[in-house]
Amino acid sequence: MTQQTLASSIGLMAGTDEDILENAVREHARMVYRIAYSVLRNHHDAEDATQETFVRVLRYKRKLEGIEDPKTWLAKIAWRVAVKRSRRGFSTSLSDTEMQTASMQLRSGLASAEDSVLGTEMAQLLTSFISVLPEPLRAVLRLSTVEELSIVEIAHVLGSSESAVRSRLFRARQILKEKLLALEGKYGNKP
Amino acid sequence: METNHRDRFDELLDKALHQYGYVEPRIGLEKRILANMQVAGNRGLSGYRWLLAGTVTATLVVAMATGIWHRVLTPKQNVAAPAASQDAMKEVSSATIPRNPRLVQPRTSRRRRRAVEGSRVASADSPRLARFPAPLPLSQEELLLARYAEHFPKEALLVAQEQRDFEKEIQLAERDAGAASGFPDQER
Repeated sequence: MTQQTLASSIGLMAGTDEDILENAVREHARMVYRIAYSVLRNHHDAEDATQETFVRVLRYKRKLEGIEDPKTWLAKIAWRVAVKRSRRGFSTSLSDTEMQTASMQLRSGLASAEDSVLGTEMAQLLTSFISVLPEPLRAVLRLSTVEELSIVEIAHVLGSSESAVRSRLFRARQILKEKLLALEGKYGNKP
Repeated sequence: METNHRDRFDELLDKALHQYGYVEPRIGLEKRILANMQVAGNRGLSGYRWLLAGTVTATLVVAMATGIWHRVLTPKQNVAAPAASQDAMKEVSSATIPRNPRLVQPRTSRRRRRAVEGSRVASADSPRLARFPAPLPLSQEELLLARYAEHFPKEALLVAQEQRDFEKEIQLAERDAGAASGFPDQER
């Protein structure tokens, strides 16, 4: 389907609004999806949240021309939609065996100089650590994992100052590091 | 040694967080979004149509209800009744309404009579009426009868005939009774 066909398929917006909206979808759909996924941790829910975000944008179609930074504006909407959808906080509890496996993956990751992919248990462990962080730290850390967003843009999305975002991100990373160190210490000596 | 370990941890954390945030949507996300937006837009448009249709219907219903209510409240005095119903009305009025106007006129006090006479004097300058004396306004009972005759002319005609026959029978019975008692003057 060509761009022109897609534009005419929307059929509701006339002229510039149509182009703006389609461009927004083409440029930022992936970012919106990643923001949603960072909160919901589920492909299906993330896609639903992405769809909802753009449907909301459709409601504001008359105001599209007045928006200076559509990327941040979209990121803000996506964040709100995703947070609203995550009614209960995502929490993962790992068994003792899984924790041990995660520790082994951590040690092998530390020992290896290559950019190897971390194992599933390690990813789950990190997810569970992030999910129990205090809310302001968790929000900043989750958004910082979305590679399309800079610190300034994260500050805009969360309505905070740039310095506050930097400091929260530092604190969140510190907490995660301490937890990982503790994990290494706990399971490191076991065979 | 400790600093090196920490740096290594930082690197590992960076890698883990990158892996945490790196996710690719299913192929064709943009197309699905655009298609969904089209559906949502059409739904919104049809919603507006339903709203418009609902508003127009509600307005029509209110207008009709108002018209019917107005018609019910307004008496139909100037409406020309059909010929059959007019006949029926005559029959009804002749059969049921007493001919003696004295009986029809309600008793009024002297003050009231004077007031009415005064108003007659005051309205002497007004143009002459087409019919003299002006007909008295119909009472509530007469109005009801007139409406009945207007709506059901045949039934009203039958009722009027029945009433007339009944009156004749009573008159005949009175005559017979008078003749039997030997007082023929009672007929008068």
